[in-house]
Amino acid sequence: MGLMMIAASLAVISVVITLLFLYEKDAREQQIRAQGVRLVRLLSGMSVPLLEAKGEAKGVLGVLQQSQNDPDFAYAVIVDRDGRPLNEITREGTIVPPAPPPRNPSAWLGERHLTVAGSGRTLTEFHAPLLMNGRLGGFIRLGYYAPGYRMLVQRLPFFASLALPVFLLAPLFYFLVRREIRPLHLANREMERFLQQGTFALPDMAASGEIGDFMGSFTRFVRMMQARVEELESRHSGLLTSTKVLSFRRARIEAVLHAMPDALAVLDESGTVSFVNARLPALLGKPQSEILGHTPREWCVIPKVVAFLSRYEAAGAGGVATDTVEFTPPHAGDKTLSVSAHPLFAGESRASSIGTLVLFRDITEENAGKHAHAEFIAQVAHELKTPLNTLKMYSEALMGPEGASEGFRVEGLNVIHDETDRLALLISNLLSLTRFELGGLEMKRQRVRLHELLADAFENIAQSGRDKGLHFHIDVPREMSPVFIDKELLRIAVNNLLTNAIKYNRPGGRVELTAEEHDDAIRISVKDTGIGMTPDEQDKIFDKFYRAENAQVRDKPGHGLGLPLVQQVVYLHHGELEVRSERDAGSEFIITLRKDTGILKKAV
Amino acid sequence: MTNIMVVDDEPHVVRLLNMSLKRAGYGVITARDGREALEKIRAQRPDVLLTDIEMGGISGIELCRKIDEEMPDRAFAIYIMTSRAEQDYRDWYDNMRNIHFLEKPLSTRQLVASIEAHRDAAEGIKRTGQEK
Repeated sequence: MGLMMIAASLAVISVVITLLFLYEKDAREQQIRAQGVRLVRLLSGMSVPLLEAKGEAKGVLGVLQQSQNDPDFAYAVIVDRDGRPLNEITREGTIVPPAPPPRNPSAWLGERHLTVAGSGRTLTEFHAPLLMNGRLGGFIRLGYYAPGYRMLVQRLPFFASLALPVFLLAPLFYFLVRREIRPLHLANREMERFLQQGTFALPDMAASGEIGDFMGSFTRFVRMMQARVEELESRHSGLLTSTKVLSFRRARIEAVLHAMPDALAVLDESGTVSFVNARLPALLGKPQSEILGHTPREWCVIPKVVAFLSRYEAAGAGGVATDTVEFTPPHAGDKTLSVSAHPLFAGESRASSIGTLVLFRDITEENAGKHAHAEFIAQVAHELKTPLNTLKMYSEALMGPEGASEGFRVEGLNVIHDETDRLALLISNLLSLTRFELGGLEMKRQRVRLHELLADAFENIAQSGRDKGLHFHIDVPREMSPVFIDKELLRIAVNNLLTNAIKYNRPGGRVELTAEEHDDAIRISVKDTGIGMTPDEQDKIFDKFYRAENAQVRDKPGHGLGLPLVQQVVYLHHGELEVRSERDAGSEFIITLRKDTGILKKAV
Repeated sequence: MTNIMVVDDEPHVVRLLNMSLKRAGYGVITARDGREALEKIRAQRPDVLLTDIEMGGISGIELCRKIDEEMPDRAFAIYIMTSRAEQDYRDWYDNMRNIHFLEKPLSTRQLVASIEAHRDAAEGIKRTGQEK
C-alpha cells in the first residue's frame, strides 16, 4: 500500500513535470521562433557591408553578438550567394553546420531545421536575403538550438521544489486514507469470516464522519439481515419439522388404509381416483395404473357401478347419502362385491365435499353366510315342526272319537312320549351345537380314565341294540393313561357314534368299540358293518341336518345333527376325527385324543 | 267316494291321516315316498294328492313336477304339507295350477275342512260352466 502510494506520487510528479516540461518547451520554441523571425525580418534586405564587422566597426552583426543574451542562440552567419560564409558570430563551442543557400527567391526568407554534425543537436535556422549594391548579395543565417534537456536541467530546482511537497503529501494522504478506511477494512475482514464460518459479529468501530455514519447503518443493516436470517432459519426448521410430522402422519394414514380389510379408492372433486389401497387392484382384477388417476368411467365396465359413482361426481357436495350397490365383477363371476360411497368433507364443515371415499367389499362369503344362516333356520324349523306335527295330530286324534279306543290311546301316548323325547334331544343338540359354534360353552376338563367312560356308554347303548339282533364287541384296555377332557361332552360324542352304528346297521350286524393307547395319543374307534357311505356322502355327513338321500337312512329317525356334534366335541378337545367307510360294507369313526401331559394342561 | 293319496315318510303321520281321513269318509291310498306315490298314481289317479315335501328319494317337489310332466291334464288337486313358509316355494308353484299349501303342524280337522272347501269351489266352477 505504502509502496503503491510512493509509486503513485512519483507517477504524479513525473506526469506533472513532463507536462510542465512540454509546455515550457513549446513556449520556448514559440519564443525562439518569434525572436528569430523578428530578427531575420529586421536584417532582411540590409546590405552585406552594413552587417559585416570589419576592423573596428562592429557592424550589425557585432551589435547582435554583444546584445544577444538568448541562451539558445547558436550562431549568426553571413554567407554569399553561393553559401560560402563571409562573416560569422557563434556561441562558444558551436560549429555552424553547412547548408546550401536557398535557390528559389520565394524561399529566400525562411526557416529550416538542421543538425549539428558532432553533437547531433537540433537547430532551428532562420535565413533572409541580404543586398549588395541593390542586388542579392548573400544571406544571413540565424541559428538557435532547439530547447532540449538542457532546459530541464536548468529548471531542475523548480521541478524539485514542485515534487517535494507532492512527495511529502503522499504518505500523509496515505495515512489519512488508511485511518479513514480502517473500519471498512475491519468490516471486510468480518465479512470474510462470516462467509467462511457463517458467524458474524460486527465490532463497534470508532469511526466518525460519513464513514462512521455509513458503518453505523451498515452495522444496523447487517444486524437486521442477521435477525431476518435467523427468523427464516427457525421458520425453515419449523417447516421442516411440520413437513416431517405431516409425512409421518400421511404414511401412517396410508398404512392404515392399506391394511383395511376392504378395498378402497378415493375420488377427488373431479371424480378422478387419487388413491387406491393395496386390495383394490386384486379385487377388481385391474392393475393399479389403470385405476389411479382415472375416472371410474375409464376402468369400470359395469354400467350400474359407473352410474352409481357418477351420481356422487355430479352431486359433488354432500347431497347424496351413503348408499350401496352390489355387483359381480366380470373377471370373477362367482363373487359378489358391494360398492358404497361416502362423501368426504374437510374438517367439520359439511358445506363442500373434497371428494368421495369409495369402498369395495367382497360380500360373497357374507352373502353365503347369510344364506346358510337362513337355510339353517329353515332346517331347524322343519326339524322342530316334524315332531310337533305328529304331536298335534295325535293329540287332536286322542281328543276326537278315536280317543275312546283303549288301544289307540296307548299307541298315541307312546308316540307323544317318544316324539317329545325326540324334540327335547333335538333342541338340546341344537343348543349344544350353537353354543360350541359361538364358543360360549364352558368345558369342564378333568383327568378321565377312558375305560370306565367308554364301558359305561357302551353298556347303555348296547342294551337297546341287542334287541335288534346286533352283535356287540368292546375292547378297551383297563389300564390306559388318563386324558384331560370334558367327560360329558365325550360321552355325547361316543353315544352319537354308537347310536349311528346301531341305527344304520343291518340285521345281524356287528358294532365294535375299541380303544388303543399310542405314544402320545389314545384312539377310540366305533366300527359297524352297516350300510356304509359313498365318498360323496362322507363329505357331507358333518354338515348340519345333512341326511343321505337313500331310503335306508331316511327310514330311520334322525335330524342330521349327531355327527356335526361329534365333530365339534372332538375339535374342542384338539383331537382328530377320522372316517373310514365303504358303501354296503360299514363305517368306522376314529377319535384321536392327545394324552394328558403337563404341557397340554397348561395350554388349556 | 273321493280318494285321497297320502304321501309322507313319517309313518306316524301316514297312519294318523289314514285313520282320520277314512273316518271323514274318504278313500285313502298311502305311499311312503315319492317313488311309491308316482307308481300308485300311474295305476290309479286319486281325487286329491296330499304330500309331504321334504322326503328322501323323490321329494314332494320332484313328485309334483313328474306328475305335471306325465299328466298335463291333471284334474286332481295337490295339497303340499310343509314346515316351511309358502313363499319359500313361490318360484316353483307359480307355474302350477290347482296346488295348495298346508303349513305344519297340521290339524286333521282343518285339513279336511280345507279339502272340502276347495272341492266345493271347484265343483261350483264346474257347475257354472255346465249351466252356460
